Amino acid sequence: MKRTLILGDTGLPKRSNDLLEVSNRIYDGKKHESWLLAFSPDQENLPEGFERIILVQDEGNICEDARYICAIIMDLHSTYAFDAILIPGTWIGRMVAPRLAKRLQVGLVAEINDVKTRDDALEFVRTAYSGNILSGIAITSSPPIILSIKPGIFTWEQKSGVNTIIQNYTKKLQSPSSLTCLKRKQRSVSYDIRDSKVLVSGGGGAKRAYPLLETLAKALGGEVSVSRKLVDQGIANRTIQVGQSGKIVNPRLYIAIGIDGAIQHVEGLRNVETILSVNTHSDAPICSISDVVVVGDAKIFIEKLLQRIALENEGTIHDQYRGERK
Amino acid sequence: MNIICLVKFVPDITGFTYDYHASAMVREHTRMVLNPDDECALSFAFKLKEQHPESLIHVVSMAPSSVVPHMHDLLRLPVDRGTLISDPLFAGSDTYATSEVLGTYLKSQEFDVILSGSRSLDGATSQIPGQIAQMLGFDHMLDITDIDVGRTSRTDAVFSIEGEKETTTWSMQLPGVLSLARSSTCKLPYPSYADLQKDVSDKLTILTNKELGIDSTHIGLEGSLTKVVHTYEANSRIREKTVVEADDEGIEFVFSYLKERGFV
Ligand SMILES: Cc1cc2nc3c(=O)[nH]c(=O)nc-3n(C[C@H](O)[C@H](O)[C@H](O)COP(=O)(O)OP(=O)(O)OC[C@H]3O[C@@H](n4cnc5c(N)ncnc54)[C@H](O)[C@@H]3O)c2cc1C
Ligand SMILES: Nc1ncnc2c1ncn2[C@@H]1O[C@H](COP(=O)(O)O)[C@@H](O)[C@H]1O
Repeated sequence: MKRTLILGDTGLPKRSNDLLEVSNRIYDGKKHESWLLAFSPDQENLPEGFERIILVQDEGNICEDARYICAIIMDLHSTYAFDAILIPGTWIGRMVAPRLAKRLQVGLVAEINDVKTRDDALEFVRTAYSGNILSGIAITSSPPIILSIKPGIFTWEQKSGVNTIIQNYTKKLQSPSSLTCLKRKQRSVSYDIRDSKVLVSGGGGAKRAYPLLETLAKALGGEVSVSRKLVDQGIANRTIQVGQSGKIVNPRLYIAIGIDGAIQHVEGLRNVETILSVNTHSDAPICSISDVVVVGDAKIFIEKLLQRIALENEGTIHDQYRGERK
Repeated sequence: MNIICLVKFVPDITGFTYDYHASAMVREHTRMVLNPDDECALSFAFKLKEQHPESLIHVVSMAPSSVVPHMHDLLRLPVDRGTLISDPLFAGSDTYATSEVLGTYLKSQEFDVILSGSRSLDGATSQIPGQIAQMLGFDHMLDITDIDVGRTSRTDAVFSIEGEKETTTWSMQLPGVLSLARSSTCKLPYPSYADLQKDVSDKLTILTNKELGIDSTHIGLEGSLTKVVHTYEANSRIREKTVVEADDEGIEFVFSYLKERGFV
């Protein structure tokens, strides 16, 4: 039976099982096994859906040591001979995958966002030229298949329960790495736009209205995100950037204010339910992919909409008040 | 310090626009530019050289010979030498074959640190630096946003990374590979007026596989372990849109639209 090894996503451990969907696509729904290499010391939080989880007790920040992780994978591979090794396209994953491919002397397709089968051959799809072109890539070396997977694209839906065997990885390897983390400083953004249900997103045309975005987001129960324009101008932080070099988001509602709709931005919007855009130009590219287009100035739009929402809320307060008096 | 900078010239796609209705890219006046991440790497090389004036900066690129003028532009900056690895035999190399060529060349060189970008605009695979580090047996770090030049010496580098939830500062023994990510603070200096027209061709070495002597089965299409079998233009869903103005009527429409869907 085919066997896949998936490297756990240490940032979002629960989402590691999204890579199961990639494995399902590779084996086209045929029976196969998927194993997870996890670093979480916390057994409660392990993701579901894996036949086996190999748990590494992470004492010295192994999960940030690409060479150590490679050494563990090489060791496991020499015993269990995986047919595919899937690596999340995270910061650490993007350091592990190329090393691993070189060590195993196999081809690597990086940060894929689709798996296709054409004439019985597997084709891995990734964006090139900054998202302007998609390339279907075949691997010509013999297995294992090594892929890194763009985060936020694949989602796994549990079909039936799987009994997971948890196995501790007890071998102590010597890491050749000299990397030492000297300091950690928490950053201030407290939300992850990938979890947001409503995003009020600002671009170059919302520069003047930037402080108002948050007020509108609050009023709609959502969060603020931005295009790269505002990140490059130092107005917003990279962590809330939507798009190809930012994040792929999946809110129910995306309000694009003063965003032109460059393909690299739109790349982040493939899973959005409703898009409302506000733009002074009705022919901005974003308008073609919007459900509602408001032609006009960003600041005026936000102020007017906030007023309208406030009016409604006042109304509700009055109604409640009346209700109580009855 | 001996610093090697890996640079790649990429098509400047910032001018590209996309026509969603025609599903086609509007490509006008494509020109080649230095990959933005590499621009950061090079700007840190200059900062290191300011701190350690005895430093030598060597830029290395594998590309067709059409990039020679671009290499010359870099050599008009405080760069000491350039190497262009260029041979029609290398055409069609995927990342595996490319890192094989670059890694083989770098093995023959003496240096304290290799600086590179984290991603290239066109390939954006982040594979080359990691594979080179693997070939050379060095440590590697990706997405570096700042190098602490004051604390970096021939034996150790100190740098930081702006991550998702935290900013981390690291030290790493050299030689090693440091890959920079674009941040708004890195800009290359302009060449001095006197250098603008200077003939810098004597600082550029062009190498072919005759000098490198890599087995022909390891390079070009033959040495590649992946193959592009299809290309598609990126496609987005075009929606049935309602267009309103940002006036009272329009705002009322938006408000009801949001209310119907439970957002207010
Ligand atoms: C490799 C690469 C990766 C990239 N990755 C990303 C990415 O991840 N995310 C991303 O967003 N971009 C990315 N970009 C950049 C992208 O190509 C665009 O440059 C960027 O998205 C433009 O941002 P914008 O639409 O906000 O700004 P602009 O292009 O400046 O557009 C501003 C828009 O606002 C409108 N406007 C102006 N004034 C007003 C006003 N008063 N009220 C209302 N509307 C107004 C204008 O009509 C225009 O449509 C990337 C580029 C490259 C090359
Ligand atoms: N052909 C090349 N020549 C020199 N350096 C390269 C080449 N390709 C990639 N690099 C370096 O590797 C980095 C990452 O590129 P990539 O792996 O293509 O995303 C780039 O920013 C460059 O510093």
